[in-house]
Parts: sequence; C-alpha cells; structure tokens
Amino acid sequence: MNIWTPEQIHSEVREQCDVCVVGTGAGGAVSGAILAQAGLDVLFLEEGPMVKTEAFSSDARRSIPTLYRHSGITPIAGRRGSRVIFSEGRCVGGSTVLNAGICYRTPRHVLEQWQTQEGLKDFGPEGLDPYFQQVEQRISVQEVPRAFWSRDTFLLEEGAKRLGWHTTPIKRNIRLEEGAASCLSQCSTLCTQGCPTATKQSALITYMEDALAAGARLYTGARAESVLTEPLKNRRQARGVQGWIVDRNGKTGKRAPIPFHVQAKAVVLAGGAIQTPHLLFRSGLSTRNGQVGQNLYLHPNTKIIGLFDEPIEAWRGSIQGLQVDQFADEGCTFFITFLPPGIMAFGLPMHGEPAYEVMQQYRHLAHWGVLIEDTHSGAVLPARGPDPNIRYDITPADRERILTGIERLATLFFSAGARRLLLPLKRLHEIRQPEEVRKIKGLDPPVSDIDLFTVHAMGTCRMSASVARGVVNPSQEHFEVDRLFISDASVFPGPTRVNPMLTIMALATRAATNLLQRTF
Amino acid sequence: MSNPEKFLQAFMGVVLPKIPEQEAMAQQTLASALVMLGALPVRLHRVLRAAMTLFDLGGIGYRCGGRPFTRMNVDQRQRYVAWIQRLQIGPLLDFIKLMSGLLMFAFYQDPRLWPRIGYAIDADIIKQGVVRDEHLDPRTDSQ
Repeated sequence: MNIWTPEQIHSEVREQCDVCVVGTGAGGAVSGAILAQAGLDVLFLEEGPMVKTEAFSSDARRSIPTLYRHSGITPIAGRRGSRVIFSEGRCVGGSTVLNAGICYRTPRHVLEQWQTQEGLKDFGPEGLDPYFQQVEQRISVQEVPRAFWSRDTFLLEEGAKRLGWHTTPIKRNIRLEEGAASCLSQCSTLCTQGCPTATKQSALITYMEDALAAGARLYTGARAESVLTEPLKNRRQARGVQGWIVDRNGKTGKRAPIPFHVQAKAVVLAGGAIQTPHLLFRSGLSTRNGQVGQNLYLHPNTKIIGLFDEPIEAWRGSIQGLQVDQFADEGCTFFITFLPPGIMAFGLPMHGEPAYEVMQQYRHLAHWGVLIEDTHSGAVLPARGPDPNIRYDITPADRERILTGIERLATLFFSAGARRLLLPLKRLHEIRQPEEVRKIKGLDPPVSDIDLFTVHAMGTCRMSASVARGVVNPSQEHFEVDRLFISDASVFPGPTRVNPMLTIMALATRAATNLLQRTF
Repeated sequence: MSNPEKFLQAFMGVVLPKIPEQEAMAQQTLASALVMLGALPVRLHRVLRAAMTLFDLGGIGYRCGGRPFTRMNVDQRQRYVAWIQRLQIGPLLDFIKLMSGLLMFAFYQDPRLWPRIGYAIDADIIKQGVVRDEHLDPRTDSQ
C-alpha cells in the first residue's frame, strides 16, 4: 500500500524520500511520475482527497465541496470593486480532474515572446516540441469528432458562419475506445465533477497511476505548511516539507492537529499559481528581487446564457468541440461550456419564481463564454492565516476588452438563433433583440457590475534567465534555494492566451528531465 | 442574533420557487448550502457571518413589522429583500446574490427536481451516492 488518507493517520508522520512533490495536478503528477519511473523515491503531498473514477458523483452537492478548493468560490478582489471568482481543484489529479480537458500547445508567438523577454534559450516551439509530444501521447490528445458534438456546438458553428467569423476545432485529452461513445454523447455536465467513465485522461488516471505503479507514495489530506531549508554557503538548500493533516475543507479541525515532516533531497512545488507563492511566503523563501507572487495573470472570462426556441439539451455531447477565434489577436476567444442544473442556477442573475421560469427551460439553454487575455497582472501577497491575499485589478483597457467580448458574444448568440439572453451584468440582466446589444456598452457598467470568473491562474513565480526578473531559473529551480523546483503554471512568464494545462504538463516534463541530470 | 442555519432557512423562502417538492427538498437544500458555506475561504466566511447578522438586525428597522429578518413571515421577507435590491448598494447586492446562489445551487442540484426541468443523464453513466456521506456533514465550523 502506498496511499495514506487522513483517516489512517493518528499520530505524527515522519518520512524520508528522494523527492517530495507538493501537489498532484498537471505539474506535480507529471513531475512525480517521470522521477518515480526513473527510479527515484518520490513522495507526494496532496491537500485534497483521492476520489477514484468509480466514485465520481453526478450530484454536485457532494462533488463540488469535495473536489474543489473553497467549493469553487475563491473571490479575487481588486480596485474599483472588481471581483473575479477563481475555481481550482483540491484533489488528487488537481484541476485536470475537473476541467473540460482542452489541450492547446502554447501559441508560437507567446513562446517566442517568453524566449526573448526572459532569455529562455530552448523555449521556441521546436525546443519544446518533444515535451509536448510526450504529453500528448500519454494523455491521448485528439480532436473531438463531430459525431460527439453537442447541439449547441453546431449552433455556435452556424452562428459564426453567418457572421463570417473563423472557428477552430478543439483538441481534448480523451480516450475514444469502443463503448466510449455513450459517454461523450451524454455527459457534458459531468466533466466539471470528475469524468465517471474515464474518457477524459486526467492526471489522476494517467500520470498519477504511472507514479504510484512505479512505487511513489502519496499522502492525501496533507497540507504543506512550509518548505524546510538549511544553509549552504551563502545560499539555502531545500531539505524537506512540513505541514498538517487536514479535513475535507483543508482545515486542521478542532481535534489536536497532526503534524507531518518529510525529509527530502529535493522538493518540487506544484500547488498552482495561487498556493505555490503562498507556501513560499509561509516558508520565508521570497526572493530578494521581490518577484514571488507578482505577475499574476487570470484570463478573466464571463458567460452569457442563451435561450433558444428549439430544445438543445446541451448536456448531450462533448462539453467543447469548437471555439471561435476570429478575435484571438485582440485577446478575445469564444467557447462553449455547459453546466449541471445547480451550477447553472447559481449563476443566474435572478432568484425565486423568475429563476424557476428560466430553469424550466433548461433543455433550451446554451451557456457560452468569452475568455480575455489580460494586459495587466495582479499579485499574491503575503498573508497571515490559511488563505492567500490575492489582488487583481481590472484595468480600463481590460474592462473595454471584456465589454467588447460580451457584445460580440451576444451578437454570436443572436446570429445562432437565440431569442433571449441572460447577461453577466448587474444592471442589465437580459436582452431579447439584436438591436439591444448596443445597450451593453451604452450602459457603461463599472467593473464591479460585471460577473467575472477564471480557472486559469498563471505566472506568480516567473521563470527567467535573469536573476533580477525571475523566481526560478530556466531549469525551474528557485534562484536562491538549491534543490527547490517549481512545476506549475506559476512559472509562466506571462499569460498563454489558451488553456494552460498542456503547457504546464510539457514544462513539468522538461523540468523533471532536467532534474534527473542532477546528482544528489 | 442570527446563525447561518437560521438565516439560510429564512432566506430559502425568498429564493426557492413554490413547487410541491419544495418542502421535501428543504432539509437537503439547507444541509448542502451549509456545507458549501463552510468550505468558503475563512475570511469570506467571517464576512458573510457578520453580514448575515447585520442583515437580520437591519430587518428591525424595516417597516414590515419591525422585527428581525429571521422572524418575518415569507411575504415580509420577500418585500425586504426586494427593497434592499432596489437600493442598488453593491456589497448588499453581492451578499444577496451569493446567499441566493448557494441555495439555488443546492436546490436545483437535487435530482428530485430534474424531471421538472427535463434534465436526465443515462443511468449507466451515473454512479450515484458514491462520494461518502461524511462530505455532506452540515457543520459550518471553519476553524
């Protein structure tokens, strides 16, 4: 047995290993698997629970508080009353268990920008190609066949075609074997609660399985409190991790807290762009250049709910199969998503009888979004207590971009045949005619009046060749702490403009390969 | 003085539609909303608890009977919330939206409601009730 849960632990834990990996999402699982398969003794620490495929529930009342940090509601505040709700996984496999499985390679121009800006020599598309290939093969990245498209995907395509807007098929990490068709034709709403058919090739059922099969050990319900270091000449060197065994909410509870200590020759942090800098601050390991926690990018996005005359039953079919990228160069991309009834109701701009009237037309609803490439960054700041202090402002330029995105998305909906739109604006809940689209900008809503969400946090421990600009070097090792590596979206030098999962996994592959060259 | 359970119970009368299943679903709705509330970030959780108390006390000054929100009848509660919404005060609107969001989530996610809205998933995909029940513990302790 190499998996421990909080229920099995009754006294202080003391462990030793070669590499301690904090987090089991896209970055941690890949790093740990590669290191374990190379023969290193790897120990994972995961704050959330391990929920296996056969235990995923269609009942979001159970799965959301279990699998998501803060039930998926982490508010990120900024000036002028702006608020972005951030959701991330807190379970074995991390957000890869809960996302739609969209797999994009980092766009060429983004990589070239990172290369030039941060002096990352091998960061061109060619340099990273072997790592992308390796990941794509392991998690089975492929285009979603049209046969599995949901009805609203076809409506999106028709609407875009009428407007002359460009669309691109989406690739996902899906295993299409005999029998899988029944899954993809039925479960659009379940992706966000864990794929119950193992069609989505999340880190839980790929890299974590590889790692555990190679002998890695896993502690669940283990919250890392700090990275342990020791002096090394005029620097420091990582020597382990300590923390607490926690309950389902990530808290130590009222019982006497149970501590754990892991002694390791190297430590890999992979808690994501919010938790990793928070852990560095708690450990007293911010860099002299003040860059830890800075450069937070979020890809803020917002959604419109459209009502169509025809029943769509948008939960039937793959959650995403197509995106509209006509305005990608302007930092604006349109996508489809669909939500189970409870989460859909959560996002409605009304409650009571008017909300019920909308929900009775659930079969006629489509739920499309617009994702914005942010031009301005926020920060994760030092904080006392268990939760990080996150600041992120929506600048006037980004607000303009968001409102333009909402207008265009509304236009797309009407072009696709929608007859009523529910908007993410506090003072304009709905419009029913294409002519009303101009009301959106005409209203000139402040940022505090726009409902914004994100599942993409990036860039708080920037990778750079420059000690003055980065938290980690091009090998993803902390500039001031030997043998402390970071392998998650926090190392991104900027926003990827696309879903970041594949980039995280490719960089984790590269970092783990580099780490194997080191001798301990 | 309001507590989260009493407050959410009172708020349910404002947020949920009047349908025959409502009473049967009420207890589960409340329990699920409390679980969601308990899992929120500690700072937000504290702010919400304070806001619930203030909202409840604010009812005393409201003309519908001049009593706390949790002791008003349903009609009075609905009028009170509608009045607050008309004031268009951002933080209050956010508070009402989050509270109603938690309850609406818990209510509409109840499979007993799904036939009414036409939602159905193939039975062979659903693996019901397999996330253990201790995750539905209604306690809201955040420490």
